[in-house]
Amino acid sequence: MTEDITNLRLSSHASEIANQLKETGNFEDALSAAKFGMSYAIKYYFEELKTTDILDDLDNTYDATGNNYNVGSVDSERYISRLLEILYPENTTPYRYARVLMCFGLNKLGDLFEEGQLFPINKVM
Amino acid sequence: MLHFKKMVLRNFGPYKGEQTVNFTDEAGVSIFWGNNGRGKTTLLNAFRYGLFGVVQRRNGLLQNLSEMENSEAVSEGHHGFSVAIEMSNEGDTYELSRQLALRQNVTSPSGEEDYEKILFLKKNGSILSPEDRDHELNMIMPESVSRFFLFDAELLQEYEELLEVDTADGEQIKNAIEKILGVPVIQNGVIDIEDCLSKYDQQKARAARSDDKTVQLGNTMETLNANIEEHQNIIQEKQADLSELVSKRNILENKMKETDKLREWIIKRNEADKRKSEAEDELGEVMGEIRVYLRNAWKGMLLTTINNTRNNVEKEKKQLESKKQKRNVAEHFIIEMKKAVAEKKCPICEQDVNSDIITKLQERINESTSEYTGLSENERERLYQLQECYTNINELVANITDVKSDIAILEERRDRLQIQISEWKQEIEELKDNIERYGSETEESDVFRISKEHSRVEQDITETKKGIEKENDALKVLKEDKEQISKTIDRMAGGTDYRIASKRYDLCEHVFNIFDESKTKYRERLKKNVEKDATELFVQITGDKDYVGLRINDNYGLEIIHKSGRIVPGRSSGYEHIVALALIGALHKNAPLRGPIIMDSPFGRLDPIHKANIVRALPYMAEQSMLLAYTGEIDEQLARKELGSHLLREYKLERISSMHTEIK
Repeated sequence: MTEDITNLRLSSHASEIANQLKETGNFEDALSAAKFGMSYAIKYYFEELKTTDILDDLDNTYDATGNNYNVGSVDSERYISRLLEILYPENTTPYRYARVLMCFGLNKLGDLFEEGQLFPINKVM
Repeated sequence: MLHFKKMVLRNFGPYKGEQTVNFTDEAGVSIFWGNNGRGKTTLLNAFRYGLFGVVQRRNGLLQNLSEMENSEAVSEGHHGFSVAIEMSNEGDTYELSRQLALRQNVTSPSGEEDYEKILFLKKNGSILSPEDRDHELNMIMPESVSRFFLFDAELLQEYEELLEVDTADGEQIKNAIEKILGVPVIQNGVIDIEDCLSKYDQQKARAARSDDKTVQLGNTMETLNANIEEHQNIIQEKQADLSELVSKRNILENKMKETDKLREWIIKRNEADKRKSEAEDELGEVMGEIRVYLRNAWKGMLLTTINNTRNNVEKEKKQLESKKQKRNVAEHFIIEMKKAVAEKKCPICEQDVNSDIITKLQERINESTSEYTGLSENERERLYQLQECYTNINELVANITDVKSDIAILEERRDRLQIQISEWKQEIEELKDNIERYGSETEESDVFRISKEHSRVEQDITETKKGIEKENDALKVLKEDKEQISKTIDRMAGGTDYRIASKRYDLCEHVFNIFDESKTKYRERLKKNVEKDATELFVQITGDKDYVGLRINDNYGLEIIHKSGRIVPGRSSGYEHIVALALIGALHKNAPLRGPIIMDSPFGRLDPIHKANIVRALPYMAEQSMLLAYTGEIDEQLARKELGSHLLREYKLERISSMHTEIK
């Protein structure tokens, strides 16, 4: 059984995007942008990311050299963990999947940002 | 009468290369058509540069003449420019050539000092010496009266000043008008004769002193003469002071006009700065709010997915619960039936049940048991999981709201503020440019300093005028005393010397009186003539029967007279132009000095009817007129129709590139 992570480390590219989003002044910090990315992925790409197998594959795809967060600070109220247990009942590593969803969502937001389609951000919420 | 015959431009402004304009010897109107930026004003400036060596810009004379170089020619390595004008005046022909050229050994100029100004004037084929050249140019076209020959709409607007009393600009224009009308000639005569008169007066006093009978009175007379001379000198000095103060006031008034604008710009810039800061603060607040909303917005974004999941969970949970419920209901029935079978007695009515019914009941028991099987152990587990999941989901969505609409409102506010800030920034930049361009380092304190200095100069002018008045009063008393003594001497003196001196003085005094009176009469007659001719032109141009004429004031300002005899108050800018044009036309008719009129886009605020009327009046304003107009300023067909045979030639200022115009 795979153990869950205790430090959530984004991919380098996703981190760059999260930092860029912070620079726009709309996000307090890169972590807020990462959580936003996770929700964006769940809201618009859930069908593509429906199984843990897919998430496992993506987990192997994303490097872990970007921003590093302790899961305690990422999810002090255990909201994300409970959420992922609901969305992926069979999963045992919610933070690993949270990392995947954050990277996936940030990459998509990065594409929009690059095309100048991200703002107004309420349109993608 | 001055008449332009030909002009040759070389690399002057947009006129790249050498371009020649041939004017005919005939009297009439030439029109130069050119859109904005094609070089109409530059063409007017070409005449100005050729004749006077200056180039007029909106904010004054151009300081660095090299700015008039054609930039395409410069990039091709040709520096400098020239303007050559061929003209005739009173039977003489002139070839004027003025150029700005690179100094010897300079190939790439770094400033104005690398250029030299070259000027030649040929009269009837012979080159004139610099002194003769300047004198000749000043005779045929003095710069001080150039405003009546070369003008644009802005210059026309200045004639309004003539209606005001004692304004600096008005005084300047009035002097220029008197100059073109030739008043100074007679005025100088008066001054010269007054000088002679003073000499004869002294001779008279000397003669009286040398006569025994009048020696005492002669001495008194001489003392009086000395006193009079002293007062006259003081008056002269004060008048010189006054003239200096007036020009100082002119400079200050011009500076004040500039600083007024500057003050307005500084205030506007400060206001825009303040508004920008306020908008930036508000934007900061809005961005703060957006960040706060976006910190937890991710939860709201999950609502749809979570609700979908909950719906699925709920659906499955309900199915299992229903299955469980049906089994529970069926279970009760089966138990009752099983009891009846076991006790062979109806559990409700306590009656005995026969074996047939028992068999049927047994069959029903079997059927119900297989129909309502209830939850399997797996299903029971699943239901438990679903119930737990359902509770968790409800906990997750409790108190979570979608903040999309709140963020949308904030983003709209943010966008609006960003636009406002950008607009303020743009305005601030424009104002800063204006301030830098016109005000350089001028500060608010300078603005106040100029205005304070202006008040002081105004006060000095008043004091000086009072001083002159006082001196004039004293002079008057002295002159009266002198006259008394002179009469006494006349009665007592019998010497030949005194009689001769007295006769000379009397003769000179007569001549002086004739000149003095002539000066007044000449000026009055000129004014009447100008008023009459300006009225004729004005009536012709306006065509409004309610306006019967113009009335001239002491400053040559013209007021419009209504048919009721009243002066028309608060006339429009358009009418201001018409009055100014009528005045210029009248001056040309009455001036001993005559020449061509060159007008740059003078129709700005006039309606088509008045434009047409002015075009029709052009041939009567001057013998040679040139009109520089943009397409649409006046209708081309209409201009041709109105001018008829007076239209000599039309030229087109054609764009070759943004820095190259050809005169076709």
